[in-house]
Amino acid sequence: MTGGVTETPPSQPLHVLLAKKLQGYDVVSERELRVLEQAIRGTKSFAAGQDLVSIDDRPPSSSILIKGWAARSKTLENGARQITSIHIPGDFIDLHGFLLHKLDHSVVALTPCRIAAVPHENLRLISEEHPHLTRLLWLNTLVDAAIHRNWIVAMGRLPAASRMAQLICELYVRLEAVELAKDYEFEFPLTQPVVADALGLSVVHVARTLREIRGEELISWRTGTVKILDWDRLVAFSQFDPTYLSLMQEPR
Amino acid sequence: MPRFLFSIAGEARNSFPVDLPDRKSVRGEAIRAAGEILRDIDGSLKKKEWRMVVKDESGELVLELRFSVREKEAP
Repeated sequence: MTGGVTETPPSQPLHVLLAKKLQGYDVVSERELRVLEQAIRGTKSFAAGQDLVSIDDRPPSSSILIKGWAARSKTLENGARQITSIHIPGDFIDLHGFLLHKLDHSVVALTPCRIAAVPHENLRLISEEHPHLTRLLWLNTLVDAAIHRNWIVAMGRLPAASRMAQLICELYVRLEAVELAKDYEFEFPLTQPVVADALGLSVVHVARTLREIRGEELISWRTGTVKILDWDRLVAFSQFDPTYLSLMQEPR
Repeated sequence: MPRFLFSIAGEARNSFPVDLPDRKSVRGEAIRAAGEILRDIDGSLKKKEWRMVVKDESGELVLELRFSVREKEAP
């Protein structure tokens, strides 16, 4: 990790949002919560546009996003960028880096971001001594993969308007799971060009698609806030099925 | 960034504005968007012609794209 600035620790424990996320999958014991908290070594802040992790890096730690929005992305030789997932606070943005070692994509800050670093040696200790917590972290990367699969299916076979509506449904459900959104309203700090890169669309088509889903009175999007006007209709319109997010508390 | 107004013939809603880096980039962006929109229309193009018009902020025509279908009736 380069380019970050070490900060003094804030009052809220750094593992809280990740803990909330994992608790959406299964009960997490007090002991496991303590292990998670103690695995963190320091935080770093990044400006919007900076890489939290760069392609080909071999980071010595994995990062939990604790503030801001980020994106896994890959930029091609012609400058075209594809975002392959969007990350919100509580996400482990590169937990897979623990075992993959060399990253095959970058993670870029879409807004000012702060991360908490978990050294890989601490992840190794968790994997050796805390099997249930290890399974939850494994599940965390499985859900990341499920999100990628869902995006591939949407990009390959759904019309643009459904894809955009699905993105909004997914982000709302994920934000709600870590108590960062409620009442069908949430901060949506993405610009239209970023949405275009996430959906694999031109900015022109994004503008047209937005006009369409606004015109259908499914959402409003003003000054960085999205409001879902009719959840049931948005879900039906987008063919969104949240199964892939595995937000069901059950023994894992 | 200059603003351009895109419209698609026959669509119920008004034109939509898009900010693009410059006038030169309009052609590439418009053609790419046309390809994406035609993909979504997916065989259900009802009219014989699909048309996208791009104007600048003063209302002057910048670009027009047409996709037309000529089909011989099946015997």
